[in-house]
Amino acid sequence: MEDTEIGEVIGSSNTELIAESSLLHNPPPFGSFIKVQAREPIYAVVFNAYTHSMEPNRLAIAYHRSEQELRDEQPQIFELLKTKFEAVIIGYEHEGTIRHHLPPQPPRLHSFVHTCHPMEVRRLTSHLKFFRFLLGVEKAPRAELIAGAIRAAYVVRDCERSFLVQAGKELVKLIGDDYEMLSSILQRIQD
Amino acid sequence: MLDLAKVSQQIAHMAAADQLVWEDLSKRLDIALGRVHVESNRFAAFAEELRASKTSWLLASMHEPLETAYPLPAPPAQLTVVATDGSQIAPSHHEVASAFLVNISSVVLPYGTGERAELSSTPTLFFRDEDLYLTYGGQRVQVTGEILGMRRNIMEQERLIEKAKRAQRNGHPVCGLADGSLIVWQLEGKPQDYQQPTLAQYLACFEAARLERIPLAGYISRPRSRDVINALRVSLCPDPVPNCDRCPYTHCEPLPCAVIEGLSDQRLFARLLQPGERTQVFQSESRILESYGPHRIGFFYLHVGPEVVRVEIPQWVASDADLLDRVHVVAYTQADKGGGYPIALAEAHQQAVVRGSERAMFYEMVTTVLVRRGMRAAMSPKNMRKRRMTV
Repeated sequence: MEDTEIGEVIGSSNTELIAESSLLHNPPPFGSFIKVQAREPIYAVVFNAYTHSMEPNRLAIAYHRSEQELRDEQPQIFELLKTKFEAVIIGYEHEGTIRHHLPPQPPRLHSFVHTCHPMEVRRLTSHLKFFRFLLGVEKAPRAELIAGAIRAAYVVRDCERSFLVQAGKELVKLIGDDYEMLSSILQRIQD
Repeated sequence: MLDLAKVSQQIAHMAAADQLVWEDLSKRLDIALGRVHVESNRFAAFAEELRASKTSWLLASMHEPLETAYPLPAPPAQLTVVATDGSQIAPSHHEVASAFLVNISSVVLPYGTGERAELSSTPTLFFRDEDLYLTYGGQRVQVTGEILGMRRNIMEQERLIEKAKRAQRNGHPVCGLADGSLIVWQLEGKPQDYQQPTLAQYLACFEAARLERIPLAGYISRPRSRDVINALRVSLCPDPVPNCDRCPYTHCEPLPCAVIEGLSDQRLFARLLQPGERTQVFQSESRILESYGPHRIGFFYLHVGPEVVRVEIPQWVASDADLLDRVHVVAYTQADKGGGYPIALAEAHQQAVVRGSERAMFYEMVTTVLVRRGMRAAMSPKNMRKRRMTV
């Protein structure tokens, strides 16, 4: 399943990327780890997703029908909507090792995006330096984003408690002086 | 530049004049409705009169009283509607190249089948000499205006059939919708060596549809046709068998039959039909239809809610109750889904349209490629000047 693409890059910079989701209404989950396929794959964490009309001057309106009714009665709508997602870049792979810093070039437009394999998530989260990138995101609530990424990694790591402890320590290092932010993240991880 | 202040006064005058016409037409409509009622009661005699009369306008031939209305049939559980449309970048000798482009769209909307809708458009560039010029009637003519419109029309029909045939393979009933009339009266009076092959190409699409039993229909919003009103003018003529060439009333002002002049069929049927209902299928007397063979076009009026529209269908659809019902229900439900105008046609238009910015981009691409090949690429000085005005 990891091998089928989940999207295609349609906008990118050194720090972020926007991708069009292959499936309508089904972007990768918030806080999940994704990979842009390339000779040197680039890794990122999803921080936003949205669905909208493909044409800027066509607004979505309410039809007061269930989705199934709409699919039966107005099938064209679903061909005119697009789901997109945005992700913050947290590293890339160079000569077989994961680098926890920004890639020298941004992801290429039209590259395919894949969900990270559990093994890749383990490798990516063996160091938690990428929290810094998540803290720099301005377009999403940072506490939610970091908690989301930690939860995603925690599940992949078979719910190892030691990983949570390690993550907590890294957060103390980074935002120990921001008690509110820290406690809000910790609270979200426990839920 | 348009001086809006100057035009606003003229708009006010126009509105005042329109109001008078409107009030006058309401009176005329009452007269027409009165005739409908009278002639319905003596329909056989009226039909005979219509057949025998020689008028200077086109009449709708009918086989039932005008008051007859057909209710909306039940829609099939599964159905696919196919529609196409087209637009063009017309050739312009002021531009960098005299080529033209035709963009044909197609829309396939499956209802209740669980299949995905399909919306697409395909551009075709025409640039060879034989594309840009036709020779007929002993003259070399540039493909533009009406001739280009006709070529586009044929391309739309061909795409419609191609998509409809493919859709029908999925095993559900299909209906093809085209925007506008299926009567190509533009070909009337054209030289035979243009008219014949063009019409043959156009009708080949109808034949393909007939063989597959896929109904085709032309949907005309806000129709201005008056074939039925013209028939009622026969009813108003004091002569038992009107012959306009020998009209004995030319000294009368107005003519006895002219009291309902100016009305359109659409206005008449807005009073005679309820939403969902259609009229009988009338026959049109357009001369070009004599060359249509089995595809001779008939038409009915349909009340879609916000307006009465004209739907044109070939003879073999009109005489097949199943196909006729399908066109009736598709035209109505499509307009309903589209808020008054068929959603498939609206989407097809959206897919086909070439915006101003896209046109500019097209010529920019042409220029780039020509220059790259070391060819001269320049617009006319006139066009250049229009773009860069100075003071």
